[in-house]
Amino acid sequence: MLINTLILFLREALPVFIITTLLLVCGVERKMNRQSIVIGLVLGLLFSVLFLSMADGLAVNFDGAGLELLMSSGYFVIYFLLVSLALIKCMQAKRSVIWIFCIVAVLLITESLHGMKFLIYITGYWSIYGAAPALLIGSFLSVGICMSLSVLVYFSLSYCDRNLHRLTSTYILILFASGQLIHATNLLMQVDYFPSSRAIWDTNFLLDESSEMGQLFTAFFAYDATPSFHQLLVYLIALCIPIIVISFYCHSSRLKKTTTE
Amino acid sequence: MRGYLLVLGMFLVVIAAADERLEFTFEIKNHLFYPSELVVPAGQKIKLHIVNHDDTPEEFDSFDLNREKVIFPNGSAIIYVGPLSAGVYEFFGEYNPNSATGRVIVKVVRENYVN
Repeated sequence: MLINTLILFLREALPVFIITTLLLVCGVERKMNRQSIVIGLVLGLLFSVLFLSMADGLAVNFDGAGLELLMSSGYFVIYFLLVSLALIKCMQAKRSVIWIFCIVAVLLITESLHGMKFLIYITGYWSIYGAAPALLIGSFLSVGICMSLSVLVYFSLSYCDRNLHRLTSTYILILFASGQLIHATNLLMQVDYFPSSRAIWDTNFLLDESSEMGQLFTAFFAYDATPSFHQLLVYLIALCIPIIVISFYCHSSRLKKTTTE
Repeated sequence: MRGYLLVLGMFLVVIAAADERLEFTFEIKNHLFYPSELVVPAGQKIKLHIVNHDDTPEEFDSFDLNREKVIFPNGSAIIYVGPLSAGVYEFFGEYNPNSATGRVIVKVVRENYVN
């Protein structure tokens, strides 16, 4: 049970830690960034408990597709909020209220979605004799692993932003955001609300999706070894549009600068 | 008006077609899947009905099928999988991965598939 708790916690908590780290790096020069992150995380925790209490009832709505529909809507909203943050960051717009709102909303939704799933496990197995210590130790160990990884990602991205390209973390943020749509489409396919076709390729021989590295890639970029054509299409559109907009904006602002000089 | 009715009619036909999908049932008892092996036809979308008889929740999870669904205590859930190519697709209960395991065997069937 200890190992299982560790794996389950890592799977659910890692995306929350990754997004928190990305937001910390992207908004490093913004006022109220850290405060909004803390507010978002606290609200997310409260909402995941609320979500847990409603999950059973939600699951039976829409012919049993209620939870999937709600969660996939959450992933879509996360995508749009993260892309908005990336655009605000790249345009260096001083829109503090929108920035704070996006950060709080992203963390609230992400933590609610993932926290609810882990709480279902914890609350479901807590009463089993002898399970509580394993659940607690597994959770604490996982927090340690997630924090170590977050520190590593934070310093790597800060270094890349300073020395490689100032928008490295922003591009990673967009990559992470696009991955949310893969999670959303997987959920919709599961309840037959999204067209599903045969997998267009299988990269399990290169990187096994169930391996530790595979799961890390899934948390970061929603790695899917067997995507369908429609999923790939959604992913590419979601990834390319903000990157094109940002590249175009950067190019035109550079042109403006050179003409004024 | 006729156009709307035609679209509505087509939509209802699509829904009716979706309901005619092959359906298979799994049961979870004492953290085990019954049956633990299921043979299904290749190239078809199928409906899996999972019933949890335990007092604890379970999550049907499969990396091969790309599916993840929580089934609440004494509850049930429906998921759709496929169309799948011939092969073996492993699945497990995420909360009890050592005991709750199983696999879906997908076989090419020429005609008149009988379960």
